[in-house]
Amino acid sequence: MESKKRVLTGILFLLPITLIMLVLFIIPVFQTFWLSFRDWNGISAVSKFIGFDNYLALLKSDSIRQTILNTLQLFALGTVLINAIALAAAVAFDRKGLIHTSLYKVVYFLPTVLSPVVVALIWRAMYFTDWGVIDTVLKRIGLSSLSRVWLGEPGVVMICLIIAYAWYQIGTTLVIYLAGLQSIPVELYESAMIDGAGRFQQFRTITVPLLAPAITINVLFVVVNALKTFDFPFALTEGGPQYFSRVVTLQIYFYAFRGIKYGLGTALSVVYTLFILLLSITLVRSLGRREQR
Amino acid sequence: MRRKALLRWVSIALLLVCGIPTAIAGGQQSKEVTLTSYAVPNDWKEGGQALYDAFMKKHPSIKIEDIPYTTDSLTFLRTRGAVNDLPDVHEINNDEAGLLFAKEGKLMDLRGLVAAKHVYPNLLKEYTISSGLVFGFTQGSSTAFIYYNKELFKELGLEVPTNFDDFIAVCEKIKAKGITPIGLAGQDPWNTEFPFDWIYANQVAITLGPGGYQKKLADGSFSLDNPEGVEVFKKIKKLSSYFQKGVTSDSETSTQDLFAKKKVAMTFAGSWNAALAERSGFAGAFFPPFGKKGAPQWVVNSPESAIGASNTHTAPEYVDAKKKFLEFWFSPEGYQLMQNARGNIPSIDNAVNVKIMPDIQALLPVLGKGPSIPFLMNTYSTAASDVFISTLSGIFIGSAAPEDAAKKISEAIKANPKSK
Repeated sequence: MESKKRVLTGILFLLPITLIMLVLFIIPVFQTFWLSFRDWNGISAVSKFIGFDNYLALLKSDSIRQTILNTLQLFALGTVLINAIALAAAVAFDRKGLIHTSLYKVVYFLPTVLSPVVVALIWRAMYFTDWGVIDTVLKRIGLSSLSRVWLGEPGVVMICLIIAYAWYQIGTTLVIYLAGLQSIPVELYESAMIDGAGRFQQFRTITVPLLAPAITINVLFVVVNALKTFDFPFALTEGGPQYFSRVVTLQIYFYAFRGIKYGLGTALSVVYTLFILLLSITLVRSLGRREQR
Repeated sequence: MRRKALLRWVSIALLLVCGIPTAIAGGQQSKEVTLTSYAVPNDWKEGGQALYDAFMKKHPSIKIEDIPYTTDSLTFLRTRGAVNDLPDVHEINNDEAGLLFAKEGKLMDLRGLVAAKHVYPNLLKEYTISSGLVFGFTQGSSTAFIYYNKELFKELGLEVPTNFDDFIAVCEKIKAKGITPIGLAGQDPWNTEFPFDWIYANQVAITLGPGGYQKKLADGSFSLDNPEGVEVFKKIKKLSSYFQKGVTSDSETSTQDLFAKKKVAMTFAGSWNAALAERSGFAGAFFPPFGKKGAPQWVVNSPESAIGASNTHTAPEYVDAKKKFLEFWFSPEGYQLMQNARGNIPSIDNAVNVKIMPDIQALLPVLGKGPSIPFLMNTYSTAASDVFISTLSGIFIGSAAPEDAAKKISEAIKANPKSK
């Protein structure tokens, strides 16, 4: 009787969140999957079943190839850049004798507390051709030949987006690395120093292995955030010029809301979700194995 | 027990005391109607506010709550429409989404309003669906102009060009002086299509005769993937060499700013933006002269975006308020408030105190009587328009070749016909 009561109490406590998950997550996921096999403009009350036509249309689309390339660039280069800079900064701030470390931490973390749209608009102004901050500085130091149409040139726009995005994301990554560094026992470094290990050797043999959990968290966090980001690239470039900075999340938006082809948009979101799932599982497994070693 | 009873009665009394003012306020609110309005773009907020204020003074029980414009107003409306939450009064286009909204019963029927009798019939029919339902009153007749710096032209001894070759020659002379010849708001889809539409009208549509383009589109034989179509894209590519750097990142406002600050000698702009160009104090206007020497001028002309009302709130007091607001907006008294702010070409036959640039006033007879085609994006589906605009951007930045662009756009138009 007592155990039945406890089970019932447990169910009642779980019921509200289960209902919320069902209504806001599970049912919409199934609806999305169902819609991906239909032709629907998002306005009419009726939709037409068209089988795999939406998925086939994705395979034939030219813009999808460029979109996928842009997304891969963002998450691969972005992950490396964000983690490399955040780790280097964390190591620098963790050193004894460095003054004003609190100020540096605040400066690095400040972008993270801003809205992504605000950050994107700031960088947009900085990238303005001829009179943006970057071009103005280049002119003043006599390097105006390096000036580009930063957000208007196909080969350059994604690099500009990745740099701006990295600047925005470094703060959180830095904080996690700092916490990881501060949990490494100092005695290990002292022993290593006594044994004659140099700074780089200590970093390679002590810091990096013991930071494995922090690296796992940060890489996963950065990868997933980069893959699902929408507001930042939308505010910075709206995917232009042409498709050269359009990432998958923007393409889903353009299909569904601009092109009023909800079926096509949901088909792309289904494919993308499966890709992110697969990637996350692979990353967790390989980084987890690395941690255990 | 007594204390509990006392506490109980005090609590009930407090609740009642708090509730009475709310009930009174609620009662007052039921007499007042607040309409949400998503109808005034940010460039004309002053004119819009003057319109709202004048209306609210006349109808004190109706409040207008303005929703600030987003950069992607069409998507905003489509998203809101998809969840039956369109603002009470809003801008609407006669594109695929607008027609769908009308057919799905999301928009109010405006044909019974007095204002419907005064909107020019050829413009009213663009916002009328097959059932006869009128879903919007267009704000004006839209076309595109090239606004030019009169002072600079005088200084350089330049004449207003009358054909494509002369226009290129003028651009070369301006460029030789180290000035960017043309500004174009390449971030805005309507502005992006201007050069294409005008070259197509005056080089290809002219050979098909009046109504020829529309006929080809209707019978499915329209294609750009032919020598004439490719030639249009080649001319676009030539023209784009005179655009400002970063053309695809510039909005209408930033491009108008470039013109006002004399960083570009000429700028494409819609007739709906005439007042912005006129503010510079040195602007003149002419139709894009993209025809062959000696050929008649064809124009590109469509109704502007319209103002409509949604069926989001169907209570009688809301329907009455929406009708009153639209009647006022398109009355001589209300219409001039926005028209004067925008300097656009009127859509009603009883407009008074109209303010239009003298150069544009002189061109109106050509607009009214000359042969024309509509803005091409108005004739394509939204999916085809997306390909059309992004491919044109590719031509501007040199990433798309004219032959490929012609083929790609033709395929997109065939694969995505506009729903009727």
